[in-house]
Amino acid sequence: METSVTTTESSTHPAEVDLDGIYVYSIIESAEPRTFGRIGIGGRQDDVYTVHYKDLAAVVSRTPLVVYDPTRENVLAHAHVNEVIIEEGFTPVPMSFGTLFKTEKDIVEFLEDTYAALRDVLVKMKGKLEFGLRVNWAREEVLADIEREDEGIRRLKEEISKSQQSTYFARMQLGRLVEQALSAKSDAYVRDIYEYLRDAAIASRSNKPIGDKMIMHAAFLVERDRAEIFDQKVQEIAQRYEGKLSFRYTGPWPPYNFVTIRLQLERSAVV
Amino acid sequence: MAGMKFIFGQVADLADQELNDEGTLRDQLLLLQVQLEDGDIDEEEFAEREADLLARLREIKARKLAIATEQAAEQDGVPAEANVKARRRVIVETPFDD
Repeated sequence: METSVTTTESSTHPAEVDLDGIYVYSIIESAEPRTFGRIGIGGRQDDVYTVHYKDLAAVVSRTPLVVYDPTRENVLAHAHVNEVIIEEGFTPVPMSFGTLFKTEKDIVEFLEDTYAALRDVLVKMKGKLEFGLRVNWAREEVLADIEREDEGIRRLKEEISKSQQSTYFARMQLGRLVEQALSAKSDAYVRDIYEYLRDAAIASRSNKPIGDKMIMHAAFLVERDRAEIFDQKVQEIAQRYEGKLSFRYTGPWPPYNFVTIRLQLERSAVV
Repeated sequence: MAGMKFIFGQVADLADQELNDEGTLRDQLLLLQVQLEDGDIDEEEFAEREADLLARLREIKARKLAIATEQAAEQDGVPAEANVKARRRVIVETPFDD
């Protein structure tokens, strides 16, 4: 996930703040004012509502004008608002976590200035949702498989266990062969999973696996009306590898991995 | 002049280093989250380590902002204050692998 945090011009610490700002979660297509409940970030039960320009709406809530740390709590609060928007049938284009404006007028200006680009992205993403898939492997199980199946590795292991001497290089070689075999297995699993899910998804993005148990960390862009088929296929492939791979499947999310809207400071002196 | 260049180089190196540190801290945050979800650590340990990582992340950000503000002032000949109020540019990206 793109987690670049955008801050407002003021980087005031929470304790020093008496000003309110407006947090923006995402952009949706809606000409009608909407509310999504008192689920705003910051723990004050702020109402989540929309700020409009033409047929575009920013989904926002009031908040103290602070820099939000990407804590799990804050990120989940941000994500929850987008979840609710999806449940209500919208396809939100997500803003980066932590995007704040000072006033509603600033947001309208932002929508106006960026109207064409935002419309473009909304059209592109219409009816599309993101699903996350992380796959961990049971390394020991896979290793046991390799030792059963791989002739070369099996023979080398036997040699080492029989021989009393000069096993150093044999061990080195065994280690290398095992690493190679593991990495080939991992690649094959990942390829197979992508292959199996490809038809049900519009696009995919692979992120760097996190930690040493994870072999796949991916996001899939899926048509809303094909989401059930995609679900089904994920269940099937997870069953195929039961005992060896464990799947963690999340979503639907707004297309975090396929659209990013960031605000960057630009020096006014440079034209 | 060479002396100045050297100093700018040092500042740039420092900025790069901080950027790398920031990336590392973000990776560690992600790992922590995964460990919590996989049940490898409990809520309490998570909260403790998250707080530590975020504090370090905040420090780096504050230093980076200070460096950026200083550099902008050097280059533009405008006081640092003026640059903090700079315009914001909107970046919309749609990265696709396939």
